[in-house]
Amino acid sequence: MYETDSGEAATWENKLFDPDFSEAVIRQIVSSIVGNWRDEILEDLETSPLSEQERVEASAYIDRYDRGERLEHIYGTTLIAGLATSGYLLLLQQGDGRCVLFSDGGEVSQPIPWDDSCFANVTTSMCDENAIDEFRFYVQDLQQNPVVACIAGTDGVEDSFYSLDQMDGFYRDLVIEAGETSVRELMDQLNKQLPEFTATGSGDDVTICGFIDHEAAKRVVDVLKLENENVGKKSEAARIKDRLNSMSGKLAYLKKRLVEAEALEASAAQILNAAYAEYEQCVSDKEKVGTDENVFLDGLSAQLRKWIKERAEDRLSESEKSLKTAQRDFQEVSYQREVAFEEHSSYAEEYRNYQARLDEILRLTESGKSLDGCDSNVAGEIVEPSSGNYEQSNEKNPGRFGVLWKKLRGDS
Amino acid sequence: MPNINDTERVARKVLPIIYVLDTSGSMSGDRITSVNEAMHDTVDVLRDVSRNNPSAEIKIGVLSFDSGARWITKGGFVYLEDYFWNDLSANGLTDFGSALDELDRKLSRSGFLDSDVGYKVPVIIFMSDGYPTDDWMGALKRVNDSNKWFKVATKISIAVGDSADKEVLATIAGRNGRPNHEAVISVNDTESLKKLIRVVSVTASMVGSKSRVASDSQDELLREVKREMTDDSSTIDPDDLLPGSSSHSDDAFYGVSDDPWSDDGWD
Repeated sequence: MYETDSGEAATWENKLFDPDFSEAVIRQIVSSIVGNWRDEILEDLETSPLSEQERVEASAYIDRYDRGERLEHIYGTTLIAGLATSGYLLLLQQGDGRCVLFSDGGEVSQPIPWDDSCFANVTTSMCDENAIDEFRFYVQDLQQNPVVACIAGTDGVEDSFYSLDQMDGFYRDLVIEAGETSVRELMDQLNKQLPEFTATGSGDDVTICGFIDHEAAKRVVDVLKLENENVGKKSEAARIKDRLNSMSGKLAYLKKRLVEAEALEASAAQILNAAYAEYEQCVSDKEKVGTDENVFLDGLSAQLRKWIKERAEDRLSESEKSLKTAQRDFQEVSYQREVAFEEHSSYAEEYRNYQARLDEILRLTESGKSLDGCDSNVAGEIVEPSSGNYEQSNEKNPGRFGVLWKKLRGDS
Repeated sequence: MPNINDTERVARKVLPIIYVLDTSGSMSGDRITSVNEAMHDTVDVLRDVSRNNPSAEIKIGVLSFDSGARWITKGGFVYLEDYFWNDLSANGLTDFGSALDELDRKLSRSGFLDSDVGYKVPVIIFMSDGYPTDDWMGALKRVNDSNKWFKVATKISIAVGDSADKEVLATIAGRNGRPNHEAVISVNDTESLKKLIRVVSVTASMVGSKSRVASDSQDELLREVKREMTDDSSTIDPDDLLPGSSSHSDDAFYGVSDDPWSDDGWD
């Protein structure tokens, strides 16, 4: 119980804490708000009817509007409202957007129950036919549980952040600013920066309102700063984990491609080696049959000798063609293997960098306990590139078949 | 005062674009080849779109179904820079119901949509050329009853060839179990299929990134797709985009063969 100037108000306000009456009282307040809102918008529509451009943009609904149906739809909006007295805090919400509360210990919460109908870019609205029933509310006894600050923001604020934790961090920063300077200073800064917020953040319009107890904020500045340090790390860890998960499939695919390319290169190298051997044999054979004093040809007729020499030349010519084909094929598959290696190597390095950063973040926290759910066990293998299997060379990654490459270029 | 530039990288909300692809036996040959080629091309185009889109970051999910259903993107939706297309092959039945069950499982906080605030309403692109061979109606009822993401998702169906069951596709792309025939686009040649996949993907990425009522998204998507596809009159007949349309008799459009998808009708 608490004292007020008006005995009637005390009775009315006490009912806010009476479970048998609180919902009825608040629904009454909500009904008044919705009713007044509807009256205001209908009056506005009378004095400022839709322009031609607006009628075109509303083409899917204009027939209904012209019949006077669902005119509230034109003015659809969400609402977050708060009332703080010396005794209580009353919060009301219709639709999306967030309202955060800072306790006198610096803990942050979103006390207004969430409506699961509001998710992704879908929201309920003041223009809904059951808008009164859709309202959510929260009441807090400030005598028992004082607050430092209560801040509400439209969905354009949360859309600018990767997570609700990060959004809470932003609101903590506002309370820190108010505690270290003043609420007036904070408001001036917000008025300057919010347009930039829209431009570089969510792209959606952004409204922030609320109240902050300057003296109470001063007392919790250090607590809030410490929590924000942890939140920053947690958000970064979550983002990295998400990216690692996204990368794991492609990493495995690039590795598989590299292994296949290496196998093809190995096979082409075998063929090329065989072609070299065959060619060298044919050169040797041709040399053998080329001299008249060749013992091999002793006792054979001139015609037979000529035939043997011609066969040797034919074989040499055929083996030369085969060798050139094998060289081309080997060059092609080696190039493909090089491409596969580079792609896998650079992607694996990016993956390793993310993993290393995640490990660093976890090490920097107190045994990682403030980063719930952000361990370093992410999906996907950490795959080392195959550089260890390749001969080191001044050439750009000639691969394990460096000797063959030298042969192709005519190096000794 | 925290300056926005000092704040950690502000992230765009993620727009999941999910392809649910029929890889049954009837899709083999030119049809699956067209799908593979289209997906290769589309991802490149989507990367450009995503780079220039300040309000949403695109992630891709691919779910194929034939005898059963499976996620090609196994670990969840992937960012475009991590996306690669491994050509699909076609074989087996047409278990559309299994695909819907998989969507129900993974379109959830415990599945692929694991962030409180991170996701926009997904866009789901269904593609099939035949009739379901399992209890698709039961699966559709289950997912519509229990999965709010599926219910509000922007859905569009591509009917490939004359054998596609357009009524099934209209029901799956509909709302609250009621068919939406306007959400079904028919296509009867490979070039149109490739173009349609690309146009639907790009348009969906732009429409889906705006905050709006879900039904508005579907209507706008269909309007824009129709506009894009009919800009080039050499590839598709506008009548094919109208609800309830059947194949027309323009021989020049279809080529020599009565069945445009037969082997002798195509390059």
